[in-house]
Amino acid sequence: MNLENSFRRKPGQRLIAHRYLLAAAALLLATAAFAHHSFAVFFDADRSVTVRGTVTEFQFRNPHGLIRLKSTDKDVKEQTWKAETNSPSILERRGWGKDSLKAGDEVIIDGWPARDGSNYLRMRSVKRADGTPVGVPFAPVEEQR
Amino acid sequence: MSLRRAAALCGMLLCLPALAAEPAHPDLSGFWMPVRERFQPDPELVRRVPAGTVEMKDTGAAEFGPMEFGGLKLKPAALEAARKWDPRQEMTVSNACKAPSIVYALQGPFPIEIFQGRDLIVQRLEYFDMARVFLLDGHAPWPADAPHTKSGFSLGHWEGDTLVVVTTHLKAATVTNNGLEHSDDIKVTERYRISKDGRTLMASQEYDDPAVLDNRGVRYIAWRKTAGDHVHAYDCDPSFAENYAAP
Repeated sequence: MNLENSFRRKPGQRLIAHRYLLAAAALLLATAAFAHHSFAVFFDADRSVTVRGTVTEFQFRNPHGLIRLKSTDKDVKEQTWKAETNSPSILERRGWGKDSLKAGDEVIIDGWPARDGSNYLRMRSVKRADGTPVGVPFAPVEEQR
Repeated sequence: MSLRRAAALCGMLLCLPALAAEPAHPDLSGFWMPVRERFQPDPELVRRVPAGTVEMKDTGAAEFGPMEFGGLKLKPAALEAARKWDPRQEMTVSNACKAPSIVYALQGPFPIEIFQGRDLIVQRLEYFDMARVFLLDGHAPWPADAPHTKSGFSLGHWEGDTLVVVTTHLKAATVTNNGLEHSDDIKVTERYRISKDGRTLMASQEYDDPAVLDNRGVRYIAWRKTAGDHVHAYDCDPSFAENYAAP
């Protein structure tokens, strides 16, 4: 299965798959793998996806938070997305809380897509519609060794 | 001064050199956040690792991909189990909150907190609300058939300014979060040192598990001291796994 092509065929998402971004995404992996399940197995660290949408539900619980949203790209049919967050106990130290998002909020979520091509992603950062970041974004860090 | 008091004072003075000669151990107490940026392992920790031990470079947030084990040589049965491993099973309600052992838990990107006494050190891990006890009082090893848990049974001692902890009785659990499990018989040797400025805690964690591995592995881990914080509750909620199935 050609994941890149399958992603490109899907409407409602802005897939960024430029080659020059791959290295940056690999470096950013260090901020991504706050998982109890394997990030590397479930998500594609070599690719990025950005979804703009309206929050329909926000869960803030370990092992991961979850943002459920409906994409609002006016050019395509509405789609439902799920964005898995870092562990809330990690996010709490970065200014997040259970009330950071609520249903109806317009957000832009950037992250790593699921390897299986589903509308599921691992959050890297979240911004509100006006560009204000939610919480303190993780700084891109180099590989730890 | 009476003769008796003078003799007592003299005795105390004679004891002072002996008291002064007893080495003061480094104080590892405090709240420690994992170091996120690149770091070089402490040379003294590296020096103590037996030759032929492979360094696993997945410490912190990094993780190995499928069938990648950082140089560990798996026995045929372990390799076959890793091949058959189905990651989707990790995200079921039954398994989503199944805690790893300290083999995987300690190296993750979560903070730890240490409370140090003379005969006992307690290490709390935020990840899965784990707590470890290091007995430094000459406690006898547990019998082989004693209960195995995810935090195991740990005996510690000081070698100069290095805390050495040997942990056994660990219940089988993941090593690399991608299908490789250690056995109940794994022996984990950890060494902890603190930087001269007291701000960085450095550790090596060695794995010896001949039932599963043909070689030995080590991870180097570092944490930075952070004032005014404590470990948070993890309170893993297995219903999170329902998100993988629901649209």
